[in-house]
Amino acid sequence: MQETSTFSCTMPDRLDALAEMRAELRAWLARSNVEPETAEDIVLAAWEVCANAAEHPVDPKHHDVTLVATVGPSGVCIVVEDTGSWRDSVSRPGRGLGLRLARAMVDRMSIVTRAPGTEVVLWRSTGGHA
Amino acid sequence: MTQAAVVDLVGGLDLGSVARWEAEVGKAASTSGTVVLDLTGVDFLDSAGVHGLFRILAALDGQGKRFVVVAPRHGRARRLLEILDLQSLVRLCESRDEAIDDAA
Repeated sequence: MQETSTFSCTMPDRLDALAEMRAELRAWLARSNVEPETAEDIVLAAWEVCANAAEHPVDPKHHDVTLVATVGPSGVCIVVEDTGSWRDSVSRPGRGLGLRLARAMVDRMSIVTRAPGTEVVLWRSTGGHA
Repeated sequence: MTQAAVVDLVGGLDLGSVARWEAEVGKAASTSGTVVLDLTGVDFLDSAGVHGLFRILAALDGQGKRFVVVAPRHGRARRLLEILDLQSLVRLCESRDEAIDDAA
């Protein structure tokens, strides 16, 4: 049976940090033997959620986005936390599309709003889900 | 009949690169009345990329250009456009040859 393994990173809300997270997450999923197409779906979902989170700093000086990914025998779980509260989804064109795309890439996605901050949990089965 | 201008989009079509691709397509469109956007080499497409792609197509349409998009079945670009149910909004070809024939 596959062991549980965890990947985590904290990124400032900059595009190069996001791109770095993407490369590291992709490499970790490959090392964790997640099938490449499933891995790409997970990477895209994580990317969209992080991009969304990075976009709405309440205080830009103290606005980090934290991602923790865990792979277990049945799937991959990703938790993205940030300290901002999300603006309305109509605030920029294409923004609703990002969360729609993220949702389509995983089996479950839930968004919890706290004060202050937002947590998004993504879960994708690795057991042959298309 | 002028030759179609082909833009080969390779790598990411995303938040970080969409502006560069928009500029590339704009340049190509200034040389021909027909533009082929080849997405075969796109290995990462995000929502900003999808949004940018449709902005690009709308701009070409507004300039009276003909355009065809190459996005092979089982490729990343085709899959995401299908998931978002956008595949019917634009003609998607399997190969560049098919796109060039189609645009002729």
